[in-house]
Amino acid sequence: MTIGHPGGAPQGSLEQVPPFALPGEHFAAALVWLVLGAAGLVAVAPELAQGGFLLPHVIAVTHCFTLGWITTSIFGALYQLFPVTLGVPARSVRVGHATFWVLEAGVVALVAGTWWWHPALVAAGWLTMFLAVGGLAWNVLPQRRRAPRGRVIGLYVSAGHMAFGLAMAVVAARIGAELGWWRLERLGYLAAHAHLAVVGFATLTAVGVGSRLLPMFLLSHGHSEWPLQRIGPLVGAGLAAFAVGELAHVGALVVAGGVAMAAGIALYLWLGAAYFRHRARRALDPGLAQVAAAFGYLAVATGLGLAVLVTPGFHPRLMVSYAVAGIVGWISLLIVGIYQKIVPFLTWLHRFSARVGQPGVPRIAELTSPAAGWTAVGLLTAGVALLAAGVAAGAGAVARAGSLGFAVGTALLVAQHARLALRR
Amino acid sequence: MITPGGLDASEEAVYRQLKRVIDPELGQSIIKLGLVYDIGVRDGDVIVTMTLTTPGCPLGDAITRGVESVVGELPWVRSVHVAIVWDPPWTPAMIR
Repeated sequence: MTIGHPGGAPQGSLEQVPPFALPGEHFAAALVWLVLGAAGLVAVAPELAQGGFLLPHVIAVTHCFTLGWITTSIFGALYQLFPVTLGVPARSVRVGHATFWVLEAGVVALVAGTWWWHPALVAAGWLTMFLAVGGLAWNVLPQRRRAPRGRVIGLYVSAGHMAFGLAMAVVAARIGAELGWWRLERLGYLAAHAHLAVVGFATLTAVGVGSRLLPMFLLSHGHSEWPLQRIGPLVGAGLAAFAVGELAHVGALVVAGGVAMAAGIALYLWLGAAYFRHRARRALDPGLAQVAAAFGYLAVATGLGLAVLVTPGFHPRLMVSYAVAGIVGWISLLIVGIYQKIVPFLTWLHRFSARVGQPGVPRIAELTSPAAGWTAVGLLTAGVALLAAGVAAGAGAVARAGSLGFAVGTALLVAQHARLALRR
Repeated sequence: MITPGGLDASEEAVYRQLKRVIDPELGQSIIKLGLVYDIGVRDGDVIVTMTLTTPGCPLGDAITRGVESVVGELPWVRSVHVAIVWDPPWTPAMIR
């Protein structure tokens, strides 16, 4: 008997997908960072409620999320996504493993150097991160020029990576200022850096990757695609104006850029709602409910960001609430939701895909406990709400209660993923 | 989208086998999802023309192999070919 595919191999053929170890090691390390970040949130919650965003411990915890959880997850996802969605694999799996270890070494150095405030370690972490980002850029990004499909996703990923590079360049500029080479106002630098990283890198990458993943998981058909042509340019132009305005102290540019960014994000919220509205799967599972909650936090973060932009004076607690909603509520919970979908999916693919049609093959949903999943969603979502509210109100106890809820939800989530990984 | 009416005995045997191929994400058979467009059988050579819920579906390879496996279990089958097509594109309206 012979077998074959006269219509060509199915797109997303397993032959092009990297070994499970490559995205798997990224996802495992990212989950460790999520645990560290969640524990760190409990530790720094009172400082957050006082608006202490410049404290070393707060900066260290922030980078557990931004670099450890978010960046490591995105890097792992790109190695898995490019072959499946764009039809092109990374140049080298070996380089992929190498960039993973370099990335993790860089994040460890940066977070440890910030927590114990050791500038040499921070600088070493920055340099190591630079190598990791460059390595991933070499390994993945040029491949999109050969991609037979997924042009828009490739553009968003490239734009996100460019924003990451700029966020790192702004840090380098800050180091130069510390050394007395030039002047750079600290708050302006911080605003430019944070927005380049969270809006430019994380959010633009999420828009691109999500344009493929979310309709696929929701079984969403018939929604408009045109917002994808507008969101990137709007957010990108707004971000550029905002960052230049912050660095050069041009208030009008900051406001114009902030408004353009918010308009782009509002358009993305509309698109996100369309994904859910046009879904064929009416009942949401925990992963998709977590994604929906993350979109809710994106709306909250956008409102808080505009409030920071237009409110005269310096309001550190409002700024920290904005950061909590954006970094923990939006992008971190979005990735949590995607993990709840993609980790069981990949586990099934690698354990059971060869046995399709045979008895005893479970459905993907049967690999995890819905009760544990829903409990984690509730704890994580409510935890962020309580944390952000506690920070806004200056109530340290409330902020700590919220961070505890988030930490318990994280522990539940990680235990579920660990159980899945150990399943035979 | 194929329906049992109008199939000859061998095509119907293939059709029944395909009901065993379950999309693990959606929990429905590829027949119920309306993914199978045509079944052709000639002298023991089987061609299954089908689509996937979305281009670039990461389950495409697994589902294709599942089709090959279950159809290949029929004793009279000499070869199985799976043709993945995107026209007409699949929509949720094709779910039975």
